[in-house]
Amino acid sequence: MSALLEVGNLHVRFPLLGPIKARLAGVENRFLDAVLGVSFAVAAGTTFALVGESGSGKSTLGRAIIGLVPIQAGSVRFDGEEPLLQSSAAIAAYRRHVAMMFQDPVASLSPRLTVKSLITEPFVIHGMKGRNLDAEARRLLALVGLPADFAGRYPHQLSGGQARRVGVARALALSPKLIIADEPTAGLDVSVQGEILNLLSRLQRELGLTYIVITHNLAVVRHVSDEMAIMYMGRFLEHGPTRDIFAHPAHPYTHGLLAAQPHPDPDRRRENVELQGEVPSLARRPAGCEFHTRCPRAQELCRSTRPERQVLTPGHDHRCHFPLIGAVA
Amino acid sequence: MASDCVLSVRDLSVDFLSPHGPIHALRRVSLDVPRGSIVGIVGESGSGKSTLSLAAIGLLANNAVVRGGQVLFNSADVLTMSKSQLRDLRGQRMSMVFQDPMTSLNPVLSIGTQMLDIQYRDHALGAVDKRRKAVAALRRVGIPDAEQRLDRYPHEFSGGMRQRIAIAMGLLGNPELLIADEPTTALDVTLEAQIIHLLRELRREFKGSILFISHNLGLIAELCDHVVILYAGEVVEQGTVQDIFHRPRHPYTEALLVCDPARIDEVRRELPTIPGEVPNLLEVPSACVFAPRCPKAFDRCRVERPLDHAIGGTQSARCHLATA
Repeated sequence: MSALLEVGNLHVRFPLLGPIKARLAGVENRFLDAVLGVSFAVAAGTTFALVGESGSGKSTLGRAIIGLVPIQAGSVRFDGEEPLLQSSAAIAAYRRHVAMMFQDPVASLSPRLTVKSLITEPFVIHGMKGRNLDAEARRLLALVGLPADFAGRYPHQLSGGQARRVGVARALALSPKLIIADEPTAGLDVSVQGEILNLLSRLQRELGLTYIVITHNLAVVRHVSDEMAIMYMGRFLEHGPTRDIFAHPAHPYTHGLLAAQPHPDPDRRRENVELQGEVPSLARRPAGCEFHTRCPRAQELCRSTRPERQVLTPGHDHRCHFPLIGAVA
Repeated sequence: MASDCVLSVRDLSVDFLSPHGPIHALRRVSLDVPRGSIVGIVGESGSGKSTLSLAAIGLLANNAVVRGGQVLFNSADVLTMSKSQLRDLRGQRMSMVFQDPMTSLNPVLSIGTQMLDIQYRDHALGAVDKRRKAVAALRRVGIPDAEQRLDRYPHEFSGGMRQRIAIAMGLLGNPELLIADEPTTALDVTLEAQIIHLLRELRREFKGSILFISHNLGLIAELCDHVVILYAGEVVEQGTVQDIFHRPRHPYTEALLVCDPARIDEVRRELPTIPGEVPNLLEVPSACVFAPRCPKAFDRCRVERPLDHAIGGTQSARCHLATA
């Protein structure tokens, strides 16, 4: 299977201060590095999950892929092309192939537009005149399992799950190949969460869609994704097939995240908390391995030297001097 | 029973007035919070769990009408208390930690000012002592350099720190009951685990009770002693945490447990759901509220309202099938 999307050594940085102010204040690094040297490929028809805590750069990475934030270095190849380097017409064409589902189903829908306007707005934005918008609205609503009379409703008349479905319908409008879904189930009840995930996987089967799912919900990731990456302070600390990572997490951070998931079983209560503290500020990156400040296994080497990407098995890599796998195997 | 309970809700019914008529948000809800225990309330959006917690602390919105029942806090009814009685109660003997630590702290006052303000009842204490108490409270919830941090403003803290501060403020008056309404929803899993651990440790120290409201079954299993399952404004099942997670008797509880992806061991693309929707609370079904979505419903469920059936002394379920 060929890769639909290939991200190579991608860097995204935001300036914190202007160059003159930074010099006056004596600040050496006036940038905030949100994404640092990230590389991965997503095969057509598969689901790739980006996992990390708040501030890990997972949403920024998603936005950089679709061109909503500028890329500082690196490449985004889609179907063998690099659309973001080309003309604005090429970027517009690229955005018809790649759709984004934003966080917060209700807030990402304009409260003043009807469902019909919301889900057919992509046609208007991309200048696709001459389409029968009523017919398109009916088609999209049917696709996401909503009754046709929802076309006349406003976002405040929708439940959380219905609003999510409208978000899916809007993303599907231009028949994209890739959908980037930012926290598709955040804020939904467990029973509704399953419905949305089932809808996404049905659409994947029927329409051959490729997904990048950005989430912090590991229980969901395990069921829906083929490959995953764990992000921390803008880097991939571990990346590989979901099944392998859940079975044998190599990085202590991955292990800590998995251990932090509460078990819905009162007889399996955890006595201690493995991951203490919080993500350090991106403006003050720790030296060496950025995770060493929270790592239960950190040693001298980790404080001084940043670990390079190490390939464990083909397709499964990590950045850790002392991976957990060696100890297990 | 009520004597050794900090909080005892008896047959509470609350309506919200709306332009379309009254919304029956809570209907004959009863639950007990035994002294020193952690009671979890589980429910999906719209189940009434927040209404219940707000009723307990006397903070119901203006359009809420109590149709009947009592909320007994140490045998005194919160619903009939005067404003000054409620003021003595809140923040002192009963306090609350809200869902969003971004909005529950005042952004224009420093943490220290806010933590001194809420000690206004302690006339005997001077400002220095109040400050010392605030520092001790912050230390207790694991905030480093509490002394210096006291002069900082809420935006200078991360989300996890802010929720710790909110908990510290809630515990400042050594309350008998702490109500935590989805206190970790806005936090990452690693912080969530830390907050849950903190609540468990604090309970040992402050010897109070906690009413913990959440839709996250994992957290409920992790933290609570007793569990109350709310559905569409009714308590459909309650029992010890072992009862609920190992021997659920109400089909809704069973369905909720089945839906949790964390409980599904084998990887699968198709996840279980609960078909149908929560009933419209403007017109509550006269029979069983869960019958329209229940996989086990039979004719009787659609015509006759089930009673609360006691099971083994600690558990009860509002279901016709729970009799056997």
